Amino acid sequence: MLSVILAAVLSPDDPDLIARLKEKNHEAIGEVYDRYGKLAYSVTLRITRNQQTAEDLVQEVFLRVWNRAHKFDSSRGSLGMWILCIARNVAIDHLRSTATRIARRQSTETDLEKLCFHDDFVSRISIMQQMKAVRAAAANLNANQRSVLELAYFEGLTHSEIAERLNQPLGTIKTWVRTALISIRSEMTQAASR
Amino acid sequence: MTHEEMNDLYELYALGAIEPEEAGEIEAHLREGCPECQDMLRRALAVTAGFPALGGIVDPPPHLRDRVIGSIERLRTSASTAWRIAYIALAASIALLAWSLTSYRTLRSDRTQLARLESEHTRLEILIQLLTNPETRTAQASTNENAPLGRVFLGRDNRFVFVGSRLPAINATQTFELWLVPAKGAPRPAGLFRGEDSHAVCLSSAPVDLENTAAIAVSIEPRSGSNAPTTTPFVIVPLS
Repeated sequence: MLSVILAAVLSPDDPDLIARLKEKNHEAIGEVYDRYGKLAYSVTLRITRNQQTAEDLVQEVFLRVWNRAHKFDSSRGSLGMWILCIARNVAIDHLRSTATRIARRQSTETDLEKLCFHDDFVSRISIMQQMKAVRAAAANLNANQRSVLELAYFEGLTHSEIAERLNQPLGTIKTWVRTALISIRSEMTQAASR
Repeated sequence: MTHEEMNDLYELYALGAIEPEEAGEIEAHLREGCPECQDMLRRALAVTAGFPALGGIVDPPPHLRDRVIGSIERLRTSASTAWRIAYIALAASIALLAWSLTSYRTLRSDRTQLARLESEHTRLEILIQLLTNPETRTAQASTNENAPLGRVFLGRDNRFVFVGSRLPAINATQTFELWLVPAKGAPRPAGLFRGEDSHAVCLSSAPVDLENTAAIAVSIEPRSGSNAPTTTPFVIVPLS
């Protein structure tokens, strides 16, 4: 998984490809799909757990990429991370809407995309280190720790929703999340020092 | 919430998976510009950037590529079509505007022509009525052979018709002008006309005070007419 993600997300953006995408070049979107379609599909399928829905959402993801390409700023992040972010947001928003969790705060794609391009966001090299670290750390997590992180990332659940889903006390969930994050941060710190 | 407590939440905040109340508190704090929390958020974003590694990779079905590209192609085509329609609409609007202007000019020209014809029709009706009315009086200038001949038909409504023949030739910058010549005083202009083949028929432009008019004269004047004769009248028709 990691090698695919790294290849897809961390490979240097082709300036010409991005330029052609911004110019609404038809062939460019095909190249972008070839590069990132697998990743977008994997994330949306992992989140929705429904093949048909994942296909619908991948279509929506690339339509958004097509329509918003002119806003993409390569100086603030890679194209792959941007598409990954859109894919996750689209899928989680779908989950939330279909689960009719209307009362819950729905993070808009704009908000989350801004986070993806937060000022001074990590460089591509450090992202690669972080992803390696996450993978290394995930191997050391127990099932509960891994489960809470997956529910948070792939389903966008909050502490209380995870607690409800896993039928565990809120305090326990917070502990699992906290220890899992400490483990990942520790791995990241070690990775950064290597 | 303390910084340490917030530090435990930034990853979840970065994922949009935090409780709304906690998210509101964090956002308010970030807006205050706390450098420590800004740094925490950056670290959290760095951590979550690697979270896709938690899932598995799946090959999308082969038909999905065609579906995705097809939907974008349709969007692109429809946008292109929309632009084409917009261009056509713009061109049609310009053509319509040009046609409207032309039509307006034509209509205005037609209206001018119609008004002119209506005026001419009215003038001819008055002329026929005046010439065929048995009460119409006639006056004629004493003539010499080959000299211009002038005859005036005087209607009861104080309109008159001047009929001229053997009229002198005039150029494009000249016109004939009728004059009401009183017994005393200066002649008053009574209308302009141009002849054809040395003949002319001219209806007075309005009823005139024939009671105080001793004669009707015709002179050659500049094309726009004069307020007083600038040449010697070549025809003088006494009305008495």
